[in-house]
Formats: sequence, structure tokens, C-alpha cells
Amino acid sequence: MTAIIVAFLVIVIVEGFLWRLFRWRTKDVISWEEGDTPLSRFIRVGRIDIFAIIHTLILLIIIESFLFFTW
Amino acid sequence: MVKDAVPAGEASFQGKYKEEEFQFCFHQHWLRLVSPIARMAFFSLLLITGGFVMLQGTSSVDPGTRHVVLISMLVFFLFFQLDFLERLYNYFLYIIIVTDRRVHRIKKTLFVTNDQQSIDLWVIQDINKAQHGLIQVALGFGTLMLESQETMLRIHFVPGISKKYEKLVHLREQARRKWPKLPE
Repeated sequence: MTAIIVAFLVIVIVEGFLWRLFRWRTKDVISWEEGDTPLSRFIRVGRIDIFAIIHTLILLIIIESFLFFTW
Repeated sequence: MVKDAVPAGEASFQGKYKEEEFQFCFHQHWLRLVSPIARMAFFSLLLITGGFVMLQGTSSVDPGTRHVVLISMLVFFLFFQLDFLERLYNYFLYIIIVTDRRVHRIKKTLFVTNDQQSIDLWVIQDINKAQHGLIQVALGFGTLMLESQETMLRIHFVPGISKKYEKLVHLREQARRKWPKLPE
């Protein structure tokens, strides 16, 4: 159980840090370019943000289920 | 998150003058991502497969050793995934922006690089495009070379290079007609 929680926190923190760093590095350059997705009318999310969320979720699913069945 | 869906013509970016009008922008061709994706997929599959094989063999080993093996595998798996993510972000941080006055090449990485090179359209003497090899011709990408008297700007992996080339030539002629003398 501890391993699963630690893995969850590590993944979320590291992926979140990289995503925030990316957003900070782009500042105004990318944000307007990525604003025109169908979702962006509702929740102001660009394509890269969606990819970062999906990547994090997939990693969490793979690693957490791997730990759950093998630890 | 995206703060505002700003119309592209009003968008600002580093190094932009007030009077500059945005025309278009692009990243490098998607082929640049194939290698990082393939590398990530290969090592991830290798680790997952190797992990299952190793764990089958260590089922009778003490829990401590088993945990060490699991943690090592997960660390390497996470490393390759985050490495891919960093390369993906670096791909999106490399952007070429063309305005009515200049061509800006902004090249950043997540951690260590922050380059910007700009060249005035007005001073460009030669605009050349190069496509070598079956893959470049088939996928329609190549290298654009913008030469002025004092400098040259090379842009590799330009997608849709023929259209970009035509647009740049058109913009250069437009800039020269609009500003007979070099704009300040």
C-alpha cells in the first residue's frame, strides 16, 4: 500500500513539475496557438495539456496496477 | 492551462515589435517525434517483458530482493517515460514564427537552452529550399535557407516546405514594396 501511494505521489509531482515548467518556458508563445481545440471553448485546455493529462493517467494506471499485482 | 484564446494576429511572443503583424508559425515536421516515441516504446516493452520474466523466477525469493527488483524496474520505466515527455516538450518549444517583417526562430529546451534568431525579410537576398532523399520528398519536408549579406538562417525539418517557401517569397516581396527603405 505504501509503495502504491509513494509511486502515485512521485508520478503526479514529477509530471506536474515538467508540465508547469513547460508552460512557464512557453509563456505566451504556445498558449494562443493551442487554444483552438473543441474542448477549449469549455475548459480552456490546449492539446498539449490534454496529452500531459492522458500521459499521466496512463502511467498511473500501468504502474499502480503493476505494483498492486506484484508487490 | 490556456489563459485566453487570443486571435493569432494579435498574439505576442518574445522579440516581437509592436508594429509586427503575425502571419504564420510552425514547428518541425512530426517525423522528429518518431525516434523518441520508438525509443520509449521499445524500452518500455523491454522492461515490462523483462520484469514479468524476472518476477516469475523470483517468486520464491525473499520479499526484500523482490521489492528491490520491482523498484529498479519501475525507476527505469519512469525514466524512459519522462525522457520521452521531455523530448516531446522540447519539440513544442522549437517554433518558427513569421511576421510581415521578420522570421523568428525560437529554440528552447525545458532546462538549458533559450535561443532566438531573427532575420528581417527585407534584407533576405536568397530564399532556398532543399529536399534530399525519398522520405523528405514523400513527406514534403526539408530545409529552408534564408540568406542575407551578413547572416544565414537555416531551418531544418520544415513541414509543407513548398507552401512555406512560396509564402516567404511572397512576404519578402510584400515587405520590400511596403518599405522601400529598411524599416526601423
